[in-house]
Amino acid sequence: MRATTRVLLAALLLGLGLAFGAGTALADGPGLGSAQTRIETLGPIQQTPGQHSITLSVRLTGADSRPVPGARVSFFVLTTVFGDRLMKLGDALTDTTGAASLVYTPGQVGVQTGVARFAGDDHYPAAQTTFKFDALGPVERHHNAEFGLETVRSGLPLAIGGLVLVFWGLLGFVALRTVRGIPAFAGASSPRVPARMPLPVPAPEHGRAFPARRMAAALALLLVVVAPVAWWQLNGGSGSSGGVSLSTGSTRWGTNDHAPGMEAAHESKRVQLPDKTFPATLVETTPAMALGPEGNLSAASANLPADVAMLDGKTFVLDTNRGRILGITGDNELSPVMEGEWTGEASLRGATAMTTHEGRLYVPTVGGENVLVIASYGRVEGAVQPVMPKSRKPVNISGIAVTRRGDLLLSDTANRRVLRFDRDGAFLDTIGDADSTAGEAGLLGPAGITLDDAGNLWVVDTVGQAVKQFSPEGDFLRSVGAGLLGEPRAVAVSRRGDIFVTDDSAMAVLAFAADGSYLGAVGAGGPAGSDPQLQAPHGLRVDADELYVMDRFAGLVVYRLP
Amino acid sequence: MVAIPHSERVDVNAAAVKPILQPGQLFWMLAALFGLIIFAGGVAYMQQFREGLEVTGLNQRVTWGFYISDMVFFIGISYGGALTSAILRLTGAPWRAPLTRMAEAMAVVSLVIGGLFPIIDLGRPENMMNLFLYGQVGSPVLWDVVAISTYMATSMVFFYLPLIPDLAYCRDHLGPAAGRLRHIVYSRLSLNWRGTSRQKRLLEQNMTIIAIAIIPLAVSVHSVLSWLFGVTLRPGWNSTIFGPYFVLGAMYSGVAAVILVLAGFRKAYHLEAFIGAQHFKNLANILLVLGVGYGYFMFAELLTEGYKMDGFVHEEGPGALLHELMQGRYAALFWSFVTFGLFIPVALISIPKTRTIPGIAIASTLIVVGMWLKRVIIVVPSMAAPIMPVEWATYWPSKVEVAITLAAAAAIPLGLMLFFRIFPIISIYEMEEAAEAEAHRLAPHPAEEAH
Repeated sequence: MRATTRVLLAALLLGLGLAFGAGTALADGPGLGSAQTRIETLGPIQQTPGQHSITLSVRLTGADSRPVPGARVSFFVLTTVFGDRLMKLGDALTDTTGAASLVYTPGQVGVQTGVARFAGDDHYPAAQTTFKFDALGPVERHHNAEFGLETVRSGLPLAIGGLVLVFWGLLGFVALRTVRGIPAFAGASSPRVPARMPLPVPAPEHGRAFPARRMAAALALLLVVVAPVAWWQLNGGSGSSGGVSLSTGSTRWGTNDHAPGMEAAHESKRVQLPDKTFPATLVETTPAMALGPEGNLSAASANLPADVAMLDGKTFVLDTNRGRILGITGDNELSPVMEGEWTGEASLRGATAMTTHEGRLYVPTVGGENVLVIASYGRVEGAVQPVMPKSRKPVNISGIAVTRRGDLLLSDTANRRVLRFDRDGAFLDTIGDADSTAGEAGLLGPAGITLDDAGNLWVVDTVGQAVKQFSPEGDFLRSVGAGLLGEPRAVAVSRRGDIFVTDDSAMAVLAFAADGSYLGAVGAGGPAGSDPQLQAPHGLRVDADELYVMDRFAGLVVYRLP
Repeated sequence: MVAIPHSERVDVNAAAVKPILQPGQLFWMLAALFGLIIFAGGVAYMQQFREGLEVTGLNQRVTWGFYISDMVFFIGISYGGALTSAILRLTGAPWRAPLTRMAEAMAVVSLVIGGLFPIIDLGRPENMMNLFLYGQVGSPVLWDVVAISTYMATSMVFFYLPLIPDLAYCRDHLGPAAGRLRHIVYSRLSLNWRGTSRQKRLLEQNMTIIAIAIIPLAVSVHSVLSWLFGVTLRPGWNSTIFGPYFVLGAMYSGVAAVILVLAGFRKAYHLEAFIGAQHFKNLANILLVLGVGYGYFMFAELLTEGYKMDGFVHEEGPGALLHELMQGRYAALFWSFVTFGLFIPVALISIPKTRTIPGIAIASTLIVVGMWLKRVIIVVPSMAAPIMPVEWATYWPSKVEVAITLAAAAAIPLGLMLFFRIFPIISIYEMEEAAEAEAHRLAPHPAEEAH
């Protein structure tokens, strides 16, 4: 018996040891033991007193100890509230030295555990590192507003606090008095509460006080009806619930790690561009944002311009945040051509797209109420008022194209569709009104659009991370750039059929051949990249052999195409 | 003294414990339905918990949406329930007896539901800890939590005290039909209540203390809640009238909710013998005064708003928020509330022909829905209004927010149904006290007899 006990005990210990070992191995994360890729912290990570944030910096090196540039490193912090979990802080791309940095504002004080993780790609295996840092917590950012009743104000919290204590005291007094007094005053004469007439107690249902069968039936009903829905939801659903897939402009808050859906979303945004440069040469740059003597934006300066258009040999810039059109002067400077209305349904503030047709600029308002028709000298010659079909969300126009016969095409990002109107604004039909269930043909976040010489419509799908081609009739033809585009914004097609796409996350214009093959990047840069011409490329146009890129920060950048 | 007919007493007893012993088919069907809705809300919350507030319609500009509207609404409902009961108790209104239990239970349930919303709105619930770690005594947020927790504790005591004699009654008279678990609850919580005169005197004193205390407390809860908005410089919120405006609004919706609860349980458990048309008419009188008062407050608030907003929001253009409410993007919501939440209910309870139980119940339904809408109108447009010279922000609630809101709305009737599976739905003790007081009032006075 003793021998058997000893054998069992030994087996138990062995099992526990194996389980612990396996668990530790799993906890190490992907490829921790790999000697081919290394990720290490850069210098001591420590919050400096007076600073409300900490810069988390790591370096990623390959097998030959050379830095790995352009790799996406994810940073996490270990949170212990509600159990140990990794809370994702964000992603950062490594620069040419292999360094990736993320600024983190800690919400908790004390020593914390951070994790930096590289998920791996075709060339480098995954790697991760953990590190400790001491968070001092947020800097005091609350300052009491001064006002006349400072004495009252300083005493008021104390007075109210005292009042709250009085209330709690009263509550405690009543509770104590009840709990102690009532049993004490029970007396012995009356063993039961007097009932003036006995209560006709009915027989319990089904002979039992607790109707277990009914409860079980109700629970079964719950499970049968709700479980499939719950399973579907927990497995990511259609992607349409909660507007997850439409969050192009929203801030991501409270993203908790260990979420399969979110991991999938991050995976889908992870783009590794081949190290390939498209042979376009930089011609000139027109800075868009100019500061005046007081450090404010000057009157002629653009404020985050979003698009560019060529008309009558002139170049026009859409000054998005100021709602107006600027022209480029002979001195390569910006000059207002059309000052728009500040508010109202004809205001161009927030508009991010424009195009040309029959010698006029066509600029839609962001809400789609009007498409202003503007002459090259700045006069508003008219407005088309598109009759919008019913929409689930407020319309958000972020792309425009005009066909040869004058039909208007407007991309509505919020409602995931491209709308076609006749030249008078009458609604004709919808292209790509779909969701994630529509597969490749569906549009998840249509943004910039353009027409090629054959009349085919090219739609940038910011959320779907691809550019989609539709026939002039609106039939889906093909998808270009999937797997390479991160956050595409606008598209242009050259005469020879090359497709150029601005990509915000790559900070570059990506070029594709007519057959969809990747040709390389133009103006690619990183946080400390080698070619920092583009920072936030948005609108673009191909004019003859020149590529015009409207960068929201860097200004208008012109390249000569080969 | 006139003897109280035995049959009436027995009816009260039997009716009060009927939901405990014989909940009926309807209970299980409704419990399954509400459970389903709550489960869907739970799934939605889990999605939000996993993925963050990204799954909501909240954004950088509109950081308060459905959740904060729900918090204000549900806490307001609670406030109305507690205050109705407390005022009727202190004024000694004899007709209150069959209503108080349901009003107090509703106050507790809706407060618990409403109190969850700030945590739901945080996205990451652990951030609630920051309130204690970095709380500022000058911030209404801190005082809001203090006020709500104090009010919650007081509401529970307020609900519990008049329950003690009924628990003792259940302990002594329900027998094995109530089940072992309930018997333990009754025995422990009834505190050896025997109905002696000293026990009654002590209970009455304690109930009076709490009834007095809960009135300023309830006023403070909704006032502090209103100051969360009122002390900011946002257009539409920076108003001195917000404290009383919120308090009145809470009472308006709370009394309407009490009427709905009464109408629902009266129908479901056949309590017509105890809750009559006069009860509804009395509550409708209160509702009428509150409705007219709320309309006046709203007018006064918007009138001053109209002048104050001129040129404030935009570099050009008149009172933008007021314009958007009256004629702009929120006009449909605003006028829906004015029409269906204010004018029609007030008309329904004013006109004698519609001043019936169904008419009052319809008016109350409109008020409850309308007041929720009003909370959305208070919260969202002011958040969406630009305080810099930029465009209006947009907010569109997501399915997750809608599901969680519906789950909260379903949790209140389900919570009450479950409450009354354990505790008597009508206060037997108060019904007997009221009956005896009435008998005493009707009894011929000895001095009069001598004449």
